Amino acid sequence: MDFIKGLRDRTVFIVGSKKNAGKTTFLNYALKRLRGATVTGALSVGVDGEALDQVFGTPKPQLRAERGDLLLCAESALKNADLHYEVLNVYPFRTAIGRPVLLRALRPGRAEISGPENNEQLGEIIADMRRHGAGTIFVDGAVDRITQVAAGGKAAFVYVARVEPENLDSSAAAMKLVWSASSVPLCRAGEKLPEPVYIIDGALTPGRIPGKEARGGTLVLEDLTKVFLTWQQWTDLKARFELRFGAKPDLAAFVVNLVNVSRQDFEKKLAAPALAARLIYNPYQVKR
Amino acid sequence: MEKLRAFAEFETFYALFKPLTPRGRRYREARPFFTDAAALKTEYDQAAAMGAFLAASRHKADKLRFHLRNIPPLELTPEALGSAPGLFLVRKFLSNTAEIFKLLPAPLRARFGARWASAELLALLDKGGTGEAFHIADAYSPDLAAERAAIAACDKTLKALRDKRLKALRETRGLDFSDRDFLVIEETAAAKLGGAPELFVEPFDGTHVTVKPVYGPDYMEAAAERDRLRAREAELEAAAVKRLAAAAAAEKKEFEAYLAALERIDVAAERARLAAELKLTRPVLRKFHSPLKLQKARFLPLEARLAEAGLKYTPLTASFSRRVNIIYGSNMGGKTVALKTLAFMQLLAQSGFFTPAETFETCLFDGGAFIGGAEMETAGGLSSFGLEMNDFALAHARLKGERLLLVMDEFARTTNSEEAAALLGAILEDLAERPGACAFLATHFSGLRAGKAPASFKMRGFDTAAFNTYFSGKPACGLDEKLRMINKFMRYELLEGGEGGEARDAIKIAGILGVAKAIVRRAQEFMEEKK
Repeated sequence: MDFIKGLRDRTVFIVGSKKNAGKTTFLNYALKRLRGATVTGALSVGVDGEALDQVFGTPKPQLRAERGDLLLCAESALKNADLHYEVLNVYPFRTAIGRPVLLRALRPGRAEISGPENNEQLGEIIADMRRHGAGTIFVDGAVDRITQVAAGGKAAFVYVARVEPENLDSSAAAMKLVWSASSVPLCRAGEKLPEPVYIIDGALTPGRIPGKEARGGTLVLEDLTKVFLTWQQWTDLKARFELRFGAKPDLAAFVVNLVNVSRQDFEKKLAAPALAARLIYNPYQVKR
Repeated sequence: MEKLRAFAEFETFYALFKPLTPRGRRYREARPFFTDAAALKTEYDQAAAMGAFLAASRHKADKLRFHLRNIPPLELTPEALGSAPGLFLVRKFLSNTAEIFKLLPAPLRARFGARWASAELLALLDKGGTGEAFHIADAYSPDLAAERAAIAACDKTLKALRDKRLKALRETRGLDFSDRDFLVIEETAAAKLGGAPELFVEPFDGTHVTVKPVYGPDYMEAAAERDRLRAREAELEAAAVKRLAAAAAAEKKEFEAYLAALERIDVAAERARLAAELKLTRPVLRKFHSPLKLQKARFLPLEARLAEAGLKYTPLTASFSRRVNIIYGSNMGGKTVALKTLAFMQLLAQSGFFTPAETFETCLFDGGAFIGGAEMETAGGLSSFGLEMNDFALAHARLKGERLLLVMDEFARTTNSEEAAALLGAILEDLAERPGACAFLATHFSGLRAGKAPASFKMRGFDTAAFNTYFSGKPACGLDEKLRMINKFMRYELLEGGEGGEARDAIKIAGILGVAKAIVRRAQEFMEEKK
């Protein structure tokens, strides 16, 4: 099944392996594919609002809105927007670039989407978008914002990676970790778990892994976005403990943008055929 | 005052007070403490009137809460008003305000100063949208409609040109741009395109290129025309925003009156909600100094904790006609709770709330102070005793010009009993001479020398006979059960008199809490010998 269709009526977090991974480009593609079937909403999280990417200085792709799209934009970004819109809400929380404004595009145009600063605000905005009819809502960026919305049960995430020769090893390791973590079951109420049960609130860093003397039992983690381990540390952990997550958004897809790396080389580096079979390569790339 | 609030666990109640509007929340943060009887009466009158209105119609009560919650924060600066989002907020504010005012009957509107005078401005802003939405509509400028129609025509032309070009590229070059602005193809495949003028090609990586459609001069011309039209539209929108912002700014005075009225309505509605939900009654205010009378006063934080633990709660009934009062009683006999109840009731009453009692008659104080509980803290190098004395000295100094409620719990308990009793006696005598002092002191020291002025009270204490009947032959039990037993047999009633009569429950309580029987027995023997 076309994975894009599977995103319909969900809250989809588009998270990237790094800056300029191609998240917004993917977002534009997904929006085009889903419009018509559902009202779409889009916002971003993280510090935004610059015309140029803050790390690389490259122009940031703007979002192409169509009539009826719901968008969250910063008040300051609206002044020069090529957009005719109606305002649906203005949120009282201030961000560095002004108040977030929820709007509906009244005709096609370009816009720079923006976002709130914390999870509570994000939850409020997503609920507001749904109240105004949004079916599928895309949240561009910031993997650590998934948790709260994941609790709603309709959240999914798309992991977008830009793989280049210089980050081939680290990209493959990061994707294997996300893939492996996504198969860890959700901790269910009343489930009988192997004792002892260790509960790790917040980030799981190497320093918070129970000591070597602890072998066996269950480790309950908040969610996969809180795992800050290397692939090796993660595999060691899996060998020592039964793992569970407190919340778990669905992994909808891996979108891989290869730059100067062949599919063959990348899949060889992954050394995980099941994962390789799940990869969606650059949707803009076509064979002729 | 903060120590008194902490002692009375005022925060557990205040956390339930949740005004819905931005101004209401600001009011909450200010934590007003009323010392003026007329101002406090107004607060009570407003809460009572609002309570009657809300009780009459659940539907109207829900509607009022809905619109209050929808009142946005309002800024009336030129910068805040000079944009569509700023005007959206003005319209949202006005439409919810109008609905709230409409809901209230005329006498209530008059009581809250709710006078609606912005029908014209709201009608003007309503041209910009239906429901919650707002935009700079064509209705605001005849030229806008024409400009937007031209943009729509331009968009149509652009779309037609784009579709035509994409169709041609699909048919002649096999490139499908349907869902994509660009394509990434292999460089070798791109070479076969032979530098087609309808395609723009640039490198993607070492083996691929990015291909974008080139739409041609007609398209560029239409796009440039659209840019020009859009710039003109932006000018017209800015002019319309300016006119609307000026119309809103002209009603600044009205807005300020609405904000003040909404704050009063919001606060009164929230106070009325709490009164209904927690069964609060209006306090009776008398002139200073009048007796403080509590009839079945409930200290809500403890009532809730005991209910959770399945334990019985005894409300406090008492009448304090003198200014200086001493409460004697057993350990765990309820002296502190009696003080907390009194402080809780007074703080609620002077914060504008109704109180949890069948009746609460009181008078107003300029402030309050709590002295005691110092074993929990030390500050600035002072010992707990030093801290208590410092707190007392500060409160005492204020008595020169202020009427103060002084609540003292086990004052000087950390020093030797002889000196502590002497100090307490002297303090009580002094307070009796100060007309601004209204003091309540709980102590387990017996027989304080304080002259005739203070009134003495005693917690009824442990019901030994009932306990012996119940406990005979019962096995030892855990802490929860022990506490349950103390709760069951302790009589938390405040009796007038007592006159320093000694409390004799400490050894019994020690026994219930698990101190060895032999020790308890020996302690009782010592007491007998002393007698």
